[in-house]
Amino acid sequence: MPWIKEENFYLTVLLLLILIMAVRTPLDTDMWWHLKAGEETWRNGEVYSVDTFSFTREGESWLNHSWLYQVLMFLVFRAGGYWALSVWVGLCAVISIAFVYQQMESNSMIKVIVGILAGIVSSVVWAPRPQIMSLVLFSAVGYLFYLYKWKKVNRLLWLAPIFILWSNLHGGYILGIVFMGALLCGELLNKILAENSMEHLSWREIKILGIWILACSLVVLINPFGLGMWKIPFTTIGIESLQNLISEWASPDFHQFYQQPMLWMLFGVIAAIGLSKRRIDGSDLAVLVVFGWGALTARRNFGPFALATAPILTRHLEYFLSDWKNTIVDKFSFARRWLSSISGTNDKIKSGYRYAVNLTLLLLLSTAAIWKVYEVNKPSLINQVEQENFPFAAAEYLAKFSASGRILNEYNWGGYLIWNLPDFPIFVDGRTDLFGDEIIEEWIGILKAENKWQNKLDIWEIDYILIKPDRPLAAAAAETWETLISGEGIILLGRKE
Amino acid sequence: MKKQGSLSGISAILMPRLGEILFIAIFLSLIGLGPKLLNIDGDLGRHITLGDYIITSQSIPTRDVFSHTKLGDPLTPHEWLADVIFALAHRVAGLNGVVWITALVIGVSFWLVYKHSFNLSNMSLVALAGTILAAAASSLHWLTRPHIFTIFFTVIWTIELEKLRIGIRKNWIVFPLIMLIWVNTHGAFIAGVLIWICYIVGYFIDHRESWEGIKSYIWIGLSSLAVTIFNPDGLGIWKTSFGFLSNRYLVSHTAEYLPPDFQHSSTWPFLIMIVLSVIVLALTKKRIKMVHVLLISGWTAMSLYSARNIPLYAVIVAPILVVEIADFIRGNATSIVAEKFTAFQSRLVNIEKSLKGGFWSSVVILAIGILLLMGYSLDFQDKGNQFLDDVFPVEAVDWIKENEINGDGFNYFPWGGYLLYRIWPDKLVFIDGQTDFYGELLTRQYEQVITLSPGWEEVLREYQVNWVLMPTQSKLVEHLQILEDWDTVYRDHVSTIMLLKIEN
Repeated sequence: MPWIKEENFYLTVLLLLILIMAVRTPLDTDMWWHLKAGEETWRNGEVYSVDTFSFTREGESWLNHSWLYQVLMFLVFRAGGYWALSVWVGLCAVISIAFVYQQMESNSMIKVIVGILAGIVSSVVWAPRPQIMSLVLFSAVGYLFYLYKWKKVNRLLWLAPIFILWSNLHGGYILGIVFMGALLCGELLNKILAENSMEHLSWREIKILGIWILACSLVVLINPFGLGMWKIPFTTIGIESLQNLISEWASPDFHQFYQQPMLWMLFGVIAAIGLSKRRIDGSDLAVLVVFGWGALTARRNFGPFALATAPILTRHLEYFLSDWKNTIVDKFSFARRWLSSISGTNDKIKSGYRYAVNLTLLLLLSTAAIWKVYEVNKPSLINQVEQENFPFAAAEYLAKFSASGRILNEYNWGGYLIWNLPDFPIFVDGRTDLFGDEIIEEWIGILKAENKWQNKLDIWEIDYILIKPDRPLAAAAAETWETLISGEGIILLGRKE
Repeated sequence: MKKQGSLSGISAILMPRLGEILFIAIFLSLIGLGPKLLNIDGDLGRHITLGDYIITSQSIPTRDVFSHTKLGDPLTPHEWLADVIFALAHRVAGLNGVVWITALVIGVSFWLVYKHSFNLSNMSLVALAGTILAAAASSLHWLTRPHIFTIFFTVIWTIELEKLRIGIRKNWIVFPLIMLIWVNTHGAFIAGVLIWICYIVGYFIDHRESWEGIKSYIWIGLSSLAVTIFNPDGLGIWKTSFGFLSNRYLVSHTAEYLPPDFQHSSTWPFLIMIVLSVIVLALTKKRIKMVHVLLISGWTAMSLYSARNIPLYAVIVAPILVVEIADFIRGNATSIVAEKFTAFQSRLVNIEKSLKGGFWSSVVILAIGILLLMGYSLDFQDKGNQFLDDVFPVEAVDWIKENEINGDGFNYFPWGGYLLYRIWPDKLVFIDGQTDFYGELLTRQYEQVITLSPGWEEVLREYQVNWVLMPTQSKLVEHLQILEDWDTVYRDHVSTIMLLKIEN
């Protein structure tokens, strides 16, 4: 089994662990409207770009920057249902970490540990949504730059197809441009500091990188919306309601345990840079500052932060640890004896035995991955998650007792209703770039039962209110509207005849 | 020989030093922001009331006397000295006095940060810029609370530890003295212990061969830890502090312990400091001392976890950054810009060192103190230093004082301190900002009532609540208004008082 070399073995273990972590029950609030839009595009043979899902923006054009991802996701879902979606997400996570692993410079064990940490940090955006493709392509761009700078291998030509694909898969292509911009600034910083090193790009290489940034900014226009794609990052960031309404756009809350790994990573990288004698490279510094800033401002940037930072962390950890190993060996005789005893251990173990152990471990992890895919996609679990997080009973009720009607809905339930109740147009869903501050703020005002909420319900000709029971509107409308369903975390009200 | 640009005589007295200008700027800004300092946080009333109680009774209460829910329960008055200081200032000049003492403590803290940074870096402009950034970062927690004393003690504690590290300070006796006052002033004295850990670990790693140096740190630690028991609650203070910090529910329900929200511009100076520290660590050509790496990375992580730590992070990290930036500039003195800057800075330092300093800051401190004592309103918005009636239930409490209202009440948590300030001992509160004392059970019960969660009525019955003082827009008030058992006896745009009918 010559393929089970140490390096391959560690990489395989890491990727299997990432797969096990990333395969989850694939139910996300935005997933549903992506699926529906993908279905519309596939069935009609043209990109879905005029709203038909909501009554607030009905007939208005919508710059659907994720159209290609939606089609792919729909086809995957049609081919294999939920399990195919969960495997799809898992594979995307694995590919992104595999690219990062190739950029790490340290011993295999440290690479695996940092790879797992990067996986945990970026896992907050592992979901069946277009962002997952941005992670894959972001790490691919990082790998191309790594080859270009550190290995002196020019594969930048791949940037063109990557960015064309990216601008049709997700508006997050801007992350790639920002990444390359930061790299360019970092290399200029190296020049300003007059650091002459083989590791730094020459002026000619910097010029080539600059040209590629321009080229990538242009090739993203190859999409159904042309110039409109340039506006997407700015219009999305400009929506103020995003920060208030959508948790992933909010600043991180490190009291939540699942968000703390980002803090550990930041702590680790600051400490490693400070402790290693290696002076940080300008491009590493620029990337760390830009994506660190991004991650602290909005937690949806955890993924790019983790993928960009992991190689930097290993570069400095390697220096720091080797320096420390030498110091400890010099100072403490017991450490010297212990290190020499374990360094011979590998040689003492017969290679056949080692292969057997390694293979067993890989088989165990593969089995765990398959088991996880099966377990998280069991119909009973899918059904349970759907009932706990989405208005399952209300959707069933409306499908059974009503033919159609306009629904004032919870923001996070919009996609679910679009997919499950296509004849019931909704007020709002996760397409914030379509609705903008105007509709979202009106929606917030109605839910708070602010002034003239009744008039607004009348003007929009709303037939049903489907919201959480703790919304002030639920209490305010209780007398004038009929309660059709009232359960834990959900209330469905209909107009009284 | 007289150095280039240096001054003497009356000029040396009248010309202020840069640090003095910085102190005056911070001091005056805080005086101008007085009403804001008083009204952002609701606990000041409790601190003044407790301080007054201690001064009047000449004893420190170790059992609760303020609430009807926990009356007589063991209390850890870990801020008693700060409360006494606030109460004394209040006795002398009312809330004007509280604002004056707060401005003075914060101003002096940042003057010390500047002085320390300047002494270490010998670059006054870099020290000034670093201190301004630190002040901006910490300003989000500039409030009339005992926490300001922890900012002050953190500054002097870190300065003394740094002096010891570089050999300026030879003995360690000052450390237990600082800790003795700190432990009686504010519960965050634990910050001092954490800083000491960074120093001893850092020193051990950087100087493994120097046992003498380590011994000093061990003595500092042992003596400082020993004096922490000299407080009204003895060892119990540790239990209280750790008990609170380890309680995830209480910590996550206390606003100041929440992580910083970087979408608010008030946190950006902190973010800039993080970025700057990464850049400094990254670009320095020498290996940074382990203690500084530990202080920077550790306090960055702690501040990202809890915004309350940002002011401490700022005063600890700023001098380190200043020194590294100054070294960086000197290391690049071959470039024209760096060369000219260094030359200019050198002339400035000569002038700075020839100045006496202290004249203008003394004049400003005294003049402002006298004006405030005379009752002048010196804040930017001319509101006067008072509890504002659009933040606190000022008129509702006036009504309570004028009317007979029987039994115990249920109050809005952020108003507890204000109620104590106005109507204690006639009325006791249900809860106030002393979350570590009230504990998880009562805080959960309070939350149960204000969110109308199942069982909320039983909570009111359990504590025999006869009246409710809550914000007019609150869920509880809206709900009680539709219940027949409750009467609205007072209502304005801020607060509403509801009275239980059956009892009255």
